[in-house]
Amino acid sequence: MAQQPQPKLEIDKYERTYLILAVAMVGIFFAAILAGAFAFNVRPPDAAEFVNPLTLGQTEFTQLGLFDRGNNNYDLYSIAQMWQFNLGPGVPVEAGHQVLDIPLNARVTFHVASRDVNHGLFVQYHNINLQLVPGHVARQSVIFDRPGTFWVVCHEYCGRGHHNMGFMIRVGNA
Amino acid sequence: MQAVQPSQGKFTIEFPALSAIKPERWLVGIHIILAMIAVVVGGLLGPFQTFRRAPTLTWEIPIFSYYYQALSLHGVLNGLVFTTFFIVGFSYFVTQRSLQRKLASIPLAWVATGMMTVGLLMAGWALLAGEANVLYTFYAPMIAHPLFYLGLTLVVVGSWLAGLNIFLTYIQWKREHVGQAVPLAVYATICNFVMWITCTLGVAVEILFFLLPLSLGWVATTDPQVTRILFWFMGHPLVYFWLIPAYTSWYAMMPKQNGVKIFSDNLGRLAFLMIMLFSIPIGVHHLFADPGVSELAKVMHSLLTFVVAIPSFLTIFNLAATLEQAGKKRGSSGRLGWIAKQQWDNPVMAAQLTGMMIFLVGGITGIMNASFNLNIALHNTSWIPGHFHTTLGGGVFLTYMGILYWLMPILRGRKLFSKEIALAQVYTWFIGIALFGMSMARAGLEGAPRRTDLGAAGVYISPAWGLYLNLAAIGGFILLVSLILLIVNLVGTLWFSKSEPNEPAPIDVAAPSDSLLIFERWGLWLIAIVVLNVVMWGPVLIQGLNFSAGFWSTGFQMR
Repeated sequence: MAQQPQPKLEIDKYERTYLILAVAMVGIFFAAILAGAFAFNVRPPDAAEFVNPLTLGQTEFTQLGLFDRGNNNYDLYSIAQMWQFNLGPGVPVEAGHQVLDIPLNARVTFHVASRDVNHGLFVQYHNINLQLVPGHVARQSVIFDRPGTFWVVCHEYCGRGHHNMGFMIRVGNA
Repeated sequence: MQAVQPSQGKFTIEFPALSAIKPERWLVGIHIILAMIAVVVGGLLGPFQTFRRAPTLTWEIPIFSYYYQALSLHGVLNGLVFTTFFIVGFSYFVTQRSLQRKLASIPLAWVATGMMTVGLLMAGWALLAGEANVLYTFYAPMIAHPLFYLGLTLVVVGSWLAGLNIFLTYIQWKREHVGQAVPLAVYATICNFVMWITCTLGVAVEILFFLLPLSLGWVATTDPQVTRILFWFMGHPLVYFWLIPAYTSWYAMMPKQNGVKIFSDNLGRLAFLMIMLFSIPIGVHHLFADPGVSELAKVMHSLLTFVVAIPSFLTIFNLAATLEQAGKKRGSSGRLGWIAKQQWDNPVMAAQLTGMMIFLVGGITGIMNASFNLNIALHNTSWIPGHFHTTLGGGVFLTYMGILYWLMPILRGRKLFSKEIALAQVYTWFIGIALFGMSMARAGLEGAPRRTDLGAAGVYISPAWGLYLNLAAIGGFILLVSLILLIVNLVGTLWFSKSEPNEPAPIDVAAPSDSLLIFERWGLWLIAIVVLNVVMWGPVLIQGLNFSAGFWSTGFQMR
């Protein structure tokens, strides 16, 4: 069978212009993302170490809670488990939920690990959002630069009590 | 007004010749019916979740009072069962009608149907019995009943056989049509199944090597991060698996329903090709918050997600240009007059047009989710269901209804029960899903989590969420009305409508003469798929595996 001459790809001139604009727009979006990430340091968590979820007590998670490292830098160590965030001793409970006081403008690095199933953690109105996957330590830093009370909720379904797994962060003792 | 030619003759199923034969109608019809049963049951559970989450209502969900069981049913039935059955049925229909030949093997098709149906029954039993309260993502180390996993496996393997059958049919056609491009609808269908079979390999490995052995007690431990990686190897192409049939309807059927040609057939092919190539190596955008995936992989997958937005931008132009031609043909004037001249009073077209409009919102919110660091503000908030109810629940579902309203009459041999009810269904759905999606998204920005029984006693509720959760419930109510209208029309068409349908299937049987053959260089594209995924997923998988310690996590039954 004789091969017919192949037709050539013809693109309408408006469509071509539109396509160039669309690609340019997507490029600008991506540049904005990179700028946000690397100039303003708004970044998702990087891959962190493995940790055995069954023996968290023998790791850096031996002592839980908020630790003052000076210069308004803090570390928060917490274990997520069905169905609470273990924030260590001495955290007051108000209306059934723990309330963690954090000074204004504190830079807090969260170190959280799950003991059982997937959990999640985000702080209302703040740039922190972690998936707590058993077997890994999740770490992310966030600056609390606005006074107020914010919910921290488990955002991954983790069983019957999932909806009760949350605590509050009170910034600047507002 | 329908622009298609009214057909002559008594049995007016004017399929392009070949066979208006009963077995074919049964084969396609069974898939569509099972899909509709799934979406009606799964769909009805949706509004009641919005009532439960609304602070002023907090009503318990009827029958399935355990929120997470209802949610598991809703997700699996709508996202996995409805879609897979509908797509397989629709793809059979498109392939046979468009290529004007029977499937390569009818027995193979029935074997596939049997496997999918048995699988549906197994997974359905586990869900109804409360033995699979693991949501549709079934993240390890939560475990469900083994029948849940086996059932899902059978549904997926059945869909592989369906894809194989379609490939074989295409190869047979190609042998007889050397040097001819395949019609666009079939091209899209093949792209869809190539992508689907590739991506479901991930979830097949996840189920067969991780979840099922854990559920059966053959192994004691598993790795949650690796299973999440394997799941999302499938999870994003899954949404394109849903989307391609909707695009097929817009690209290949809507022009015919308007008596015009698609503005650019070749750029349509390019769009489907790009989706096939780029929908898999981007799945890490679902894992941006994960602790076991590197930041580099997250940036790379974010970038490629932006690449896969390009075919959708192409689609916007192509479809708008096509609809403009249609409007001009009907005598529209001015630059935007063509919009008013669309067939807003025809349920088939109204469903597709409203579907496109709502999908535009879904696409834009999707770009936001995929934005690497913007995702920090969105991940696992109710923004996410807000987003995917405008894609799957909006653009895809409405377009499938647009297909259903011409396909079901043809399959059943009876007219659509009521065009008015169908129109009302379409517009109520459009309004309901828009309100629901917007409210959920807004609540998410205020920090409301997704997948959470916010109506339970003692639960945390931020005052900032109340308004939006209540608005979502109003959206839910409108959607409930729409679903009831759909059920009335389904039952009516199946059993109470008498007259014969008078509209032929809107299917092209040949490609335009300028369609390029390069799009059908399958060997080349398969190599591209393998290379892209090895580069994009290989490092992610290797980094996720704990080579020194193996698996650590024990399973947890979710009853």
